[in-house]
Amino acid sequence: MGNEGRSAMPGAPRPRQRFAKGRRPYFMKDPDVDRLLAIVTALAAEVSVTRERLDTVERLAAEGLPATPENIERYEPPPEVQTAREISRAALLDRVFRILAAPMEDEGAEAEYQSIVEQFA
Amino acid sequence: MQNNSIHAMFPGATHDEQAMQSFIKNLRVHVLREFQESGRTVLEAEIDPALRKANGGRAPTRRQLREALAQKPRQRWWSSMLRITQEMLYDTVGPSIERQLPELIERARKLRGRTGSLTLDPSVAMPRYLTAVDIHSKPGSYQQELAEDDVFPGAEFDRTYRLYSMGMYGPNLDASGWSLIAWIKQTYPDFRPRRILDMGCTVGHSTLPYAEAFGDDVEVHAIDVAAPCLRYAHARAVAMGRSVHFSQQNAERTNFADGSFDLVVSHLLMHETSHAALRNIIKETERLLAPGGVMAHSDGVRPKDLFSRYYAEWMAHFNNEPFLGTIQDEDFEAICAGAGFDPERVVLAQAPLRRREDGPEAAPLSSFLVVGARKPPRLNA
Repeated sequence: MGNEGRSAMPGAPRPRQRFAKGRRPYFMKDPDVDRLLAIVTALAAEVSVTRERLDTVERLAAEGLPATPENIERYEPPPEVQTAREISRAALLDRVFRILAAPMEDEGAEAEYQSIVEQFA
Repeated sequence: MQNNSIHAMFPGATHDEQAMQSFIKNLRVHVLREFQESGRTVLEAEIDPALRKANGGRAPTRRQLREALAQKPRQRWWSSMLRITQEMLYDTVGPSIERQLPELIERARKLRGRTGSLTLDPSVAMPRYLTAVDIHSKPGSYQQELAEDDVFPGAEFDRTYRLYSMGMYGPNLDASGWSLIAWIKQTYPDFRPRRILDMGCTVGHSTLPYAEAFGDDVEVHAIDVAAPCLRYAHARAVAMGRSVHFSQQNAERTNFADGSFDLVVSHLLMHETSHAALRNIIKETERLLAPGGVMAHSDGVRPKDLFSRYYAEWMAHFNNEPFLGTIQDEDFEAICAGAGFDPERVVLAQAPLRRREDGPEAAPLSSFLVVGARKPPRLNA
């Protein structure tokens, strides 16, 4: 932050700004939960990238090509590979955020369970 | 390197940059779906009825909706995720553009002036509504310059908008332009504009369709206040073989003469301004239109849809879009009348999103408000 307002300079570009001007909103009861969620999500992104790179390595190997950085950069996934990766990324997100698909405390889950316990009492 | 470029100015991506950007697109699809589903359900089933009761039958205010949803754990989680996704979008694309920046600047220099034109004016001041916060939480916003002849914010926007729109706006990201063109042609079937102005064009995504939709003899102008976006817009238009005259100007008061244009349009400009600027822009449009000319400003304003109202309020409050909430409640008919348009000739409509002017509706729940009007024809013609 703090780069705004300076005029463009000849020579090497100066570094891009990393944070947006304007207060950063937090949503959870404890803002540290928002921060931790950002860290976990960034890590999930790294896992997804590593999986995709590994997939490229395996597909190169299947074609008898060594996994050199040049071959990895040159690899262009055909449509069926792009579709498979799309499905794989969506599935990864479903697994990582699985707990958020479950009923939450304000959605009647506790009362419903209590009524079941009482049924069998 | 994967070559997924759609024009010669489009920034590239390494294998891992592309993989990261694809992940962000999937993340956005996932988060937005959960945010919408959980928000819409609880709004309709619970929050809206309860607030109407508390308000004595009146519809809830945007603030009431936002505060009520902030009490819901599921909305808190997905709100937090939506903000994180937005930040990751820029933090993923930004470094990739930064890495390529000297080469992108060089490419733009080489393309400069081959068709159309680019006129920059360093004396154009950035209005306060664009500098108070970084719009869309984009670090440095749309005007930040990192180097001489910089194109960084424009190049970054071309890739982030592709991810942000999740494929809804087509490969050239021009669906806003085609949607408005379809509306103009349906509403004014006899209308044949020769001189066209697009206000607040950013990198010209919506501008370029106007250079092909009304014949070969049109003259298309496009203005914006952000110089690095205009540099990229000009280079992109040249790369895509379209002739557009880009100039750095504020839409509230341009340097074009009275009656310069047959058609003045904008796409998602109005909500990036302010209560006062919106009125100035409509007045300026009236000044710029020739007799028989058409105004068509389009924007994401859907005041009657409950979830859209909440989402606009959410974006205004949590994604650095300070005017997006307020604009939902603006009286556009009164603004147009105040700018000198004949109220009988003002049209407010919802135009469906289309990827081509003759294409089907791209997404059934996606539409823009069009603030349209036509000036009376010249007398004694």
